[in-house]
Amino acid sequence: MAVNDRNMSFRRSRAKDLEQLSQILLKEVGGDVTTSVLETVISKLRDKDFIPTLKDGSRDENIWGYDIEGFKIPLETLKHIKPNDIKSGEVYLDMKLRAKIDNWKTFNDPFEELGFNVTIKGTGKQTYFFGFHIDKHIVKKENNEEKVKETDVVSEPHPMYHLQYNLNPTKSKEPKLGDLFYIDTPRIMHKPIDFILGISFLTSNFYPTAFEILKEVRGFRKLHDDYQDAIWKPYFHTLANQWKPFEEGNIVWNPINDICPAFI
Amino acid sequence: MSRPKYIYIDDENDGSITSLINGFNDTGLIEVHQLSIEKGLSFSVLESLIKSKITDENYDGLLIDLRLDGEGPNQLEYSAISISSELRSVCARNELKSFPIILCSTLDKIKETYKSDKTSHDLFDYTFRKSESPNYERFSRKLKALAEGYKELPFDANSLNKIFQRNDLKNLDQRIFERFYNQDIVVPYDFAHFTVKTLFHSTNPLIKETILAARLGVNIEASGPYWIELLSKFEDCKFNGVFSSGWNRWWADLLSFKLKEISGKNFSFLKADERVTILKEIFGIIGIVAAKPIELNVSSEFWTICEATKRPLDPMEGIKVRLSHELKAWQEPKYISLYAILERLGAEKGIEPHFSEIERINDLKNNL
Repeated sequence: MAVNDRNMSFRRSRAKDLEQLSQILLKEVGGDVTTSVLETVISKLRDKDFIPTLKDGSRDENIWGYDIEGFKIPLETLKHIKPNDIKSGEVYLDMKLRAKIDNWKTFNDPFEELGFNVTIKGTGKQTYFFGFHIDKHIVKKENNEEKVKETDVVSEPHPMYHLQYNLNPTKSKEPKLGDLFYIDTPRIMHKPIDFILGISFLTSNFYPTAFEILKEVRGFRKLHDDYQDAIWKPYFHTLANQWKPFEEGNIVWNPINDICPAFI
Repeated sequence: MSRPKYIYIDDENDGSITSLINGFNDTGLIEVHQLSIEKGLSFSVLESLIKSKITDENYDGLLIDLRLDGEGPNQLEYSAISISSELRSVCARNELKSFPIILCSTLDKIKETYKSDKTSHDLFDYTFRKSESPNYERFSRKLKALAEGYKELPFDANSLNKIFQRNDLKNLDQRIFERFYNQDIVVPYDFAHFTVKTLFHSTNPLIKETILAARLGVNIEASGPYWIELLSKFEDCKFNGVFSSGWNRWWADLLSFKLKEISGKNFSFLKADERVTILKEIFGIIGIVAAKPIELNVSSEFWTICEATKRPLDPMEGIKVRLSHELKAWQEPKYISLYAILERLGAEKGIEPHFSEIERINDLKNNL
């Protein structure tokens, strides 16, 4: 089954945006960033025979999305790093995104599924790992074949989009945790992000030189604006709607990028 | 198919040439016959001699010494580069069937002329280094694969899936193959050169056996026959396209996908012994042995190899190697280990650190 023309036209637009980002990264930031994993995503978005699979195993041509595996940037912010023997580090991103094409640029939730998985690896006298993810929490339905863990039955109320630290990102059976108390860290409410918004998030935190460059690239700003509009606007408008009505003139907390530098 | 026949041209005419020719012929894979030349033979006469061998005597390829204008008794006034360049254009104009041209020389001569003259790099399908005891079996396999592959090559860009034997080629990084779509005319040589130089000799989208072993966390030598058994489990990731009988390569993306599928984990973050434990469980091959880090390294989260020692390496601990060509956006760098640098293990093979790594090497040395 091939995806219809209307959906393909939407997917080609997303592919073109990612392609533009890939070119900007290659040209402006250089070879330290692995754009090849991004290119396979672009190819799949343009392939009308490719339909992404949802968590429940179903496929729907009205869903668009991608899986990025092994995207890599250097870890530049080494100054606050412990242990002291760490000499170099890298930041890896694996992500999965699934979204309804019809929800794009409406006030609906932009995504159906989101996993933005970051693993940071440092090398010194040994290798060290740290990780976190920004996920969309999906409420488990009953009769789910997946084995429900006891903790999930208690079901902590999670913010739908949240950031959570992962203290054992390599899923090692016997992680060396030292004095660390290994417990699920809190899910901190976080705005949804796709790959394009994710790049500014990752570079501003771990590769500031690249972020400073990208911020000044016209093509990047345009892409960023466009995706803020599609992904953040519905999220923040929905939250702001809790305190309606409000007068635009009352909004005096400026500038907005002091609150969040990723609003560029 | 009968044994492919290669013409061999050299200005030398001594015992070393006879033993080289016998070396190839004794493998039974290809036939090599020397084309006798006299001192001072003119360019046009040599050109027509080669043409008639290819056309009338059904030769399949040319093996040519780099410095025909060297010090041999039958020296000519031009080098392999100029005659090969002429032959390539004759083939491109379709006046002669396309055939592989293999450069052959000693490392010193290659360094001296070939490396400094980058314009000639695109002329040859492969470079055979004359040395004390070449592995004729290995080289003959490659020469045979080239000769046979060339015969299947006059496809156009629409035949890419067939040439590279993958139906989902369009799902790979499009930059890799786009050159074929952006050309009006594609000659067989374009495919051949691209396949050998861009696909086989670089990391990504294909990987060689040593890198495959690194990604699996396995020590090839210590695993002995069990490595061969394990390899057979990855047949579905193997490259079966053009020239694959001469070069063993695997698709990196298919491998990553398979590893994720069978283990549910990201293999690149696992230590070699964790990877091997998983592989043993899944395939029941208990004899495979996990690789250990190279001296002075600590990480066993291998993903590549040290080009000098050919042993597994975590790229984060590796030192980038200087390459004769610019790295394409989809290719991974090649690396050498600190140990190999300190022991000068790569130097004689021409494996040198990238200039951008010099400071880091000094830091690493100082911290030993």
